[in-house]
Amino acid sequence: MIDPEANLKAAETVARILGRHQVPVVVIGAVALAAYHYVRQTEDIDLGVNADVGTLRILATALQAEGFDVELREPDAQDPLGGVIDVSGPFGLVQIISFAGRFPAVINDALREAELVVRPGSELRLIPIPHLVALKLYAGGYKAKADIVELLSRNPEADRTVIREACERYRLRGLDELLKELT
Amino acid sequence: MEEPTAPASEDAPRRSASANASLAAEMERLRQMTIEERIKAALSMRDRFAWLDPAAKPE
Repeated sequence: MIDPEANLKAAETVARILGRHQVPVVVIGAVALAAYHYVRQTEDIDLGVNADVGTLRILATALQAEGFDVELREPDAQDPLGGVIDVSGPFGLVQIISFAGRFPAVINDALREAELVVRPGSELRLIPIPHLVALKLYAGGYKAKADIVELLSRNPEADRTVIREACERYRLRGLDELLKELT
Repeated sequence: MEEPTAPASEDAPRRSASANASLAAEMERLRQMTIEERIKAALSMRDRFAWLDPAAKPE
């Protein structure tokens, strides 16, 4: 059974440890969707970072030293992600997902523009909606597309011009097709 | 005799009125919650709805 409070606390501790290594994090994935009113089942907290493989190895060692169970999955040449660290324990699972060397701009921009945190005083900042849409388009597949439609239907006030401009800036296609679903 | 034609495919599918009402009620409920509460709701959803698993597990 997942304890959401323990899972959140673990993610905040992980963020602090990464911060000590000058690796800032932004909350992505289904937890970010939930923050923006699309609550669907998830069993982990995903943290987006830009960290090369050497840095990921250092981070994995540091997290192990803090008592976490850690598994580093290094990317191969075809991998759309720049490496993933699974951080687990009785609290559940926190995934550190690196976009370094793959799609670093979206994480850099999200870190610069993030304004919301998961709760007062938390280190966990939320990826803004335009960047979340961009990551979902980058991920591709029906589930990611469905996530975009549900996210935007629950956030009608989100500026679609800004979202469209972000996707164009990252040269991501497919947004207009999804926006038609919302008319 | 010509076969009947399908409706124009560019027409976006529409939600039913009851689906719209259901979404509106759900959105109102979610708006009453904090970000933290919504996140915890997502993280605990599997356990809260475990009773939906229809298959009785054999001993």
